Amino acid sequence: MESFNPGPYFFYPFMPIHKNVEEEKKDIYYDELFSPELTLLHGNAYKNEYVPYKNYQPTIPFNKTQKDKMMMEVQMYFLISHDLKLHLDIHPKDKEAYLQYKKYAEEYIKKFHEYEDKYGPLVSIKAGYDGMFSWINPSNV
Amino acid sequence: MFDYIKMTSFPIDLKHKNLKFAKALYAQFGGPNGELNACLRYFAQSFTMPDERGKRLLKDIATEEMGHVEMICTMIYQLTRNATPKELDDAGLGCAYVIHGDGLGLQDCNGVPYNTAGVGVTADYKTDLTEDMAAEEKARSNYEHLINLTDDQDCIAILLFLRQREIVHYNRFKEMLETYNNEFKS
Repeated sequence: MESFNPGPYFFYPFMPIHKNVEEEKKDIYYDELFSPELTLLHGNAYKNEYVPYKNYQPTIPFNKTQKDKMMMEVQMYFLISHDLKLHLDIHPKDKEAYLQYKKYAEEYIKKFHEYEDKYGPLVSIKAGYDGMFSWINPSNV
Repeated sequence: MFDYIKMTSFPIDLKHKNLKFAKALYAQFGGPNGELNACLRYFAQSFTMPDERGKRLLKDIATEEMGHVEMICTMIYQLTRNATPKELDDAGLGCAYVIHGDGLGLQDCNGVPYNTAGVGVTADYKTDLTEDMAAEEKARSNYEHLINLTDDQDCIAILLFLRQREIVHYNRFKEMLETYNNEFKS
């Protein structure tokens, strides 16, 4: 026999009304991250936040050369750690998100240095390392 | 403070000229729902958020929006690169050429100068965060209109990314507002 389902707006006095907000968030977000590559592709880290537009499929059309690919790795690890940072700004006690943030932020720094070692500085403070002011090397921006 | 990182948030390398669409893109540069307005709005509001969480969230998002300003400018620059004055004039950018040359004037798609009249800063977290949510939705619909305007798949890929970022920001502002509303019962 099927039980009576009153729906979400029915006041049911035997249920606890107040829920722990932090726990609820954890249920929603835990372990539902895109991979770093898919994060850059979709534009967000948490799977349940992705909202497609019409029938358009997200693509990353500009990854032709080795330099582009290495830059893309920097961008994807930046984006996933940035998205986790925005979540942690609001829920700083979310342990799971913090561990994920730490993991991806470390990876971001690693990729950042790998790119700089090969193609020159991305931040001006590093511009003196190779014996000249390499900050003015050409770039897209 | 801010320190510049020499990269864009999403790869951008547009090869083909598209002056008409570049003109439309000015809407997201100096327009009322543009990235510049969003950036300055969150930055100004961040100082009077009730606690450190709101301050950090608004500053982090403002910083990201500044990166989006750079993305839009990079797109406009690459789409108008090497255009002749005649081509600019035919695409409706003749007056912009007279005033700004090949430069990126701080204006919307109709050439109206950038202004901050639409930015509300009230020191009331409910008002400010609600405005921020509306701003993100307005930016999202602007991106959808821009996607509808073009067939250029490379441009669409970048705009889809920017549109999704607006949705994420909307969700964060909403969460922040709900968190504050639960904690400060007034």
